[in-house]
Amino acid sequence: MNATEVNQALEGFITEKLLHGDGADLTLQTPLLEYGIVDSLAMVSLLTFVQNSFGVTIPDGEVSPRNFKTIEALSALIMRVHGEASNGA
Amino acid sequence: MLLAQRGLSVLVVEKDPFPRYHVGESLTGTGGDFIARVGLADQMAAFDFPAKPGVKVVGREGAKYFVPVLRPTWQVRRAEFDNLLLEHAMAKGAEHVLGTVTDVILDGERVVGLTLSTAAGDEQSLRCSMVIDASGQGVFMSRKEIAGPRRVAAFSRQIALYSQFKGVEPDVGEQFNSTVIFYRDTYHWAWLIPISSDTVSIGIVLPTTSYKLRGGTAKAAMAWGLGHLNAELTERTREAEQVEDMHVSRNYSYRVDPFVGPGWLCVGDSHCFTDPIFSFGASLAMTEAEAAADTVAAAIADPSAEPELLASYAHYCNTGQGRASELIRYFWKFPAFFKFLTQGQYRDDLIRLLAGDCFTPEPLPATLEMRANLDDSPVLQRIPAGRARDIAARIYRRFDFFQGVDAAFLELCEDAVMISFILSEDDIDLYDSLRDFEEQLVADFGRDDLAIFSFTPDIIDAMPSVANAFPIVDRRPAAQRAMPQAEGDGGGML
Ligand SMILES: Cc1cc2nc3c(=O)[nH]c(=O)nc-3n(C[C@H](O)[C@H](O)[C@H](O)COP(=O)(O)OP(=O)(O)OC[C@H]3O[C@@H](n4cnc5c(N)ncnc54)[C@H](O)[C@@H]3O)c2cc1C
Repeated sequence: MNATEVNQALEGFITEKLLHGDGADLTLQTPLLEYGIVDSLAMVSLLTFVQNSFGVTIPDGEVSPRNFKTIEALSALIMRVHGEASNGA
Repeated sequence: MLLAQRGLSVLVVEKDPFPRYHVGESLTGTGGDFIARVGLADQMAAFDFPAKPGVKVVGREGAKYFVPVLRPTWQVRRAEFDNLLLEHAMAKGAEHVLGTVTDVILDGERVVGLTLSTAAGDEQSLRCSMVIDASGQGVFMSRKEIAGPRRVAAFSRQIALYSQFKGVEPDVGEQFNSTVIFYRDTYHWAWLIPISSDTVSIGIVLPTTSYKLRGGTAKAAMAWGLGHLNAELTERTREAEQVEDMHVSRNYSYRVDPFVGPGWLCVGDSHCFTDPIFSFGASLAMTEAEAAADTVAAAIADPSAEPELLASYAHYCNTGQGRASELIRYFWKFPAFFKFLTQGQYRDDLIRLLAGDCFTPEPLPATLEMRANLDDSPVLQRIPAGRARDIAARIYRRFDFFQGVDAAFLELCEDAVMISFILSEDDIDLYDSLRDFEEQLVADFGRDDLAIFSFTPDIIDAMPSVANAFPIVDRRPAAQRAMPQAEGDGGGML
């Protein structure tokens, strides 16, 4: 699993499930929270998607706006948590 | 009571005969501490005041979580609780006059006394070493132009309707007698606070715009709130019977600054009130009162130290009120994340902050985390650093929460900054709030090279294109927004 794959998977999920296919303007830097793309409900499905696709459980303390503000930020978090989990194993 | 027990001569002037109804029935952990410290814990037991185990938050789609109290505290009926405090003050030696304070007596810059008209009809003048303004939302010193003007703050333009009810289904188990916060959309929320073994206080809070849509009367809005705000609230109040008059408060969030000066200081609501969602008001007022008592006693003992003592009192109050308001802002801005904040590594900090423990010299790590998230926005990063970004940051912080402003744009022409607000409605209260905010911007950033325009729905067509402007906030439906522009071309359009 590398950052590019994670970015692509996230873009795909957000376009399809949260933007109902209308993701033409979505970039890695689009403000997901300010533009209301990720709201409370969307966040729950996003967390489930991350868990199922990458096998990564985001600790409660990391579920913060800083880590969800853009695809780039979320992807970096997933890579970090994934790395920490495999180093610890 | 705090001053009288130090042997100072104290006069309490109160305009309403106690006991009297007052809103603010849920105390936090620091409120409980205060009660224990002043030796009233045993007397509290004589009233049927529920012990408060914590706060339960119920969001949309039934998302629920519970945050326990830091230390034992109570839910109170303010009529009896405030009376208990007054009687305790008198038992400690304070004198009490039923009357209204009408003015201050000045000697140069210094406040040296008050005039009052007593309930018995006498006009009196009194000299004193120090005046403490604890007039609550009456903001007495501000109205007399001794303290600074009352400035609207975020979370303004809301309306709260509240009363007391019997026959409401209680929580069970460890959450029995908790404060319950129900929230729906942003700024639409309700509280449920058990205040005796059979009575609960219920309040419905709505943005004023939304209130108008719900019939525009307190009764209609209360009925709408009980019926539609949250399924659990509806279920639990099905058999409820209203047993107190309906009360209404609106536009109640503000700050007064400065709120200390030669011979006087303000405590509690008389200088600051923020959204009541976390029941901070009475407890913060009690914490400030303890600091005020220390300040006044020390200033009377050493008048030369008064300016410094007052400055450090003001700093203390600003610290506590500021941290409480950051917590509230974070809750409203990131409701989905707030729950996680109460469950991860910041849980203990959150329990402390929700208890009103907001006055520590250094901020708790959770406060730093919230602050970073509140201030760090990709929207602001696009604006060149410096004055323009600072102005944008100020607007961003406020207008995220300001009801009635749909969008705000910032345009740069050389060094000049032009701000355009798009308003959601044509409303006099909104203009007042906005004018007040503009004055604050001009005061802080200077009038030169700063232009501020507002566009109401009827003149929106006259608004110049914002194609080259930076959006700071844009909550309009997607269809009304300008067309997206490619990233990286410096425009930064939505
Ligand atoms: C909708 C809403 C819900 C709230 N819920 C809560 C809650 O759950 N928990 C909580 O802790 N807080 C709550 N609060 C806040 C709480 O009511 C206040 O923060 C708290 O009462 C402040 O205490 P205070 O002593 O500063 O002012 P107050 O308790 O308002 O006392 C001020 C007193 O000064 C008197 N007075 C005013 N002017 C004069 C004058 N000129 N002369 C003589 N007397 C005068 C008044 O009669 C009054 O008795 C809520 C507020 C609102 C608006």
